[in-house]
Amino acid sequence: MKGSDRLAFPFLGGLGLLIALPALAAAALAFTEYSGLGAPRFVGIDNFERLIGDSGFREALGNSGLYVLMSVPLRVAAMVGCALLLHRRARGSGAARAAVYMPTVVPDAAYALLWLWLLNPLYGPVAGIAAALGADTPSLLTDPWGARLAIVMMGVFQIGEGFVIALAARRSLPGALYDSASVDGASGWFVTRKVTLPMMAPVILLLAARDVVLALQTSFVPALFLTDGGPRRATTYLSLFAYRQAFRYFKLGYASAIAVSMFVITALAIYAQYRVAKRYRLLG
Amino acid sequence: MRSKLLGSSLAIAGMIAAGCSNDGESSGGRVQISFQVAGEAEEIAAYRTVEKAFEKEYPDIDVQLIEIADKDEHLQKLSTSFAGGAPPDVFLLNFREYSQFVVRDAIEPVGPHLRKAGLDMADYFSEPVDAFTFDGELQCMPQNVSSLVVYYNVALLEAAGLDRPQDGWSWEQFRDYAMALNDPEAQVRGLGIEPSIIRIAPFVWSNGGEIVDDPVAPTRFTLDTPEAREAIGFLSTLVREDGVVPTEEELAAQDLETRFATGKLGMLLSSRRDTPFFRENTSLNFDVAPLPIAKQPVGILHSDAYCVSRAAGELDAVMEFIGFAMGEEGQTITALSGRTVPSLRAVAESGAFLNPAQPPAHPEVFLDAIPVLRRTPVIPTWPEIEDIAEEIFTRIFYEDDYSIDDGLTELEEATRDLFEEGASL
Repeated sequence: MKGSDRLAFPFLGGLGLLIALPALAAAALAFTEYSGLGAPRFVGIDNFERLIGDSGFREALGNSGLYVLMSVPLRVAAMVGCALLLHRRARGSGAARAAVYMPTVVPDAAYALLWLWLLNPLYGPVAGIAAALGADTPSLLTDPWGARLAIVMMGVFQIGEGFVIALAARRSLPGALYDSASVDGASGWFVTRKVTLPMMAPVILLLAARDVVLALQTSFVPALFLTDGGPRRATTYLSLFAYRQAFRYFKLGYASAIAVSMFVITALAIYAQYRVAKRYRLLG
Repeated sequence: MRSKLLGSSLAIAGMIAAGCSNDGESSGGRVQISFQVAGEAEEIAAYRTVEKAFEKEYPDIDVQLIEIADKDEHLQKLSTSFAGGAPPDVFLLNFREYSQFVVRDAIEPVGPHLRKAGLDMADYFSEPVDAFTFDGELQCMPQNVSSLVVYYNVALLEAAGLDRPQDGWSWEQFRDYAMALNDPEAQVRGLGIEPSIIRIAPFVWSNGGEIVDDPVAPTRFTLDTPEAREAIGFLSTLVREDGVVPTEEELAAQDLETRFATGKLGMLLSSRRDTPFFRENTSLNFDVAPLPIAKQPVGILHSDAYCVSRAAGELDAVMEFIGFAMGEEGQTITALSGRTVPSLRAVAESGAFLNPAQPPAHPEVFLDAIPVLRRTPVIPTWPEIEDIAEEIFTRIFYEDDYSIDDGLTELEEATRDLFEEGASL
């Protein structure tokens, strides 16, 4: 075993202790009735049967699906777009890259509270600007679609890690290709469409797959702090639904079944992306 | 290298285990107990004072106060600490939430211990004691006997030329007050009311209706009776047609308590819990009045109690603490903070609670309501039922194309299984 491999041990240990073990425990608890207040009781697949008939779960599933559909394309487009705009070394590009990355380092709860202030329908800056322009205040916290959009918008600004990956991918493309395209007189849009994006396709696909996983999880904090799952349960995503079942209603076994279903749904979504990519030969 | 790594890991695991342990072991010769409480900073300050006073009188016992900012987080922390095997020894719970702990055998009934320690239950108001009695035994010791009242802004009332509401005032008078106080151009609304079952229930009861078919073993809501529908209709009219209640946008911008504290609400339906917060704003002159009456005077109990974890290691020390908090000194401290309507009669009838120097000037309104207090059912699934009801009443109050019929039908369907589940636990 190489010495460098050993460096992975603490990370793998942490991964096992903090991710794999709890995930296995959750998978086991999904087959129990467990309140956290007493011992778990094995109930077979009762929790999963109940999920099928639970309108709250179906609603949360729909909300999460909608969030993924709205958020992932926008976020990936923002990551790749910013990478393409900022990959050159130019005056101010370093500051611009830092600005793109910056919202990602803000703690999630603080970031959500910041948006709560920004979107305050009476006293927030967005309402202030709308009033100054003589427009109606957008109902971003009180209208179901407004709230969905607000949470998607929050996510679009937190693209730091994906942006760095896309930036690295763009900078690794061989310059000779662009020199040849330039000699042939190709337009910038043509080069982007026919050279840059196809060559970045595997990375873009990876970013999209990663974002599907993230979207199902990261929607939790804004939904909890910004909208509390509302209005009209429009932002009660699977993660928030599971959280409430576990920690407000003391149904940890049922919440574990929801978590397992989230895992399966995520795996299916990634598999679907993989199949599409393979079909269109995007994996290189 | 490997052994160092292993050593470090074990050390970290040891530290985590030590940090998480809560076995009541003595620290420096003192017995340690933990007490978890949730609330606004002003509320927490009262419990901190109780803790200090107790430790002064019982120097051998160290109370670790676990302060939580809000109720949801309080329940989340209780849930995780119970699941992790290290719950707090003592914690405050509302009577609407304690039964899920009782049916899962997670709390130690305090009745026998407190009687043994010499507490005479006759010294306390029976209404909250009854509310925390389950399976014939007192499960948790109620610290307060609060109820829903009408807070009002004295300056706004005077500016509108209105007198203090009289005892026994009618729904029509209540509505007239709300209309007279309403001034949207000045960003003032006449009335603040949450669209929740605990706000709506006393109106249903006062009008001769019931909220559930059986208060002890409910199987469904009974809000479809003419009396209940009339009460819901009265309240939704105040919101939808009269426009005297803050809009959804206004509530998203600022919650009801903050609106009242900053002079943007003429009246607010709330319990004693808000008093410390309102007192913080010294320029706010507020008072309380009883709930308006339709056919009969009715109030709704709001009460929290000291509950003890079944896993508490130092029961004697825990009971000493509860005995102190529920005794004259402890009850006086929380009463002076404004937080509680003391459940100990002697303190409730003393200057600590009835002191008119601090608002509200008519604290006796809370005591006068006690004989007519009713309460919501005590079943383990009630918190979930309440949450669903609140979502539906929000739509009834604020959604134009959503009728009371729509809401009651949806409420019946959405809660049927939960009533059944509550009965089966």
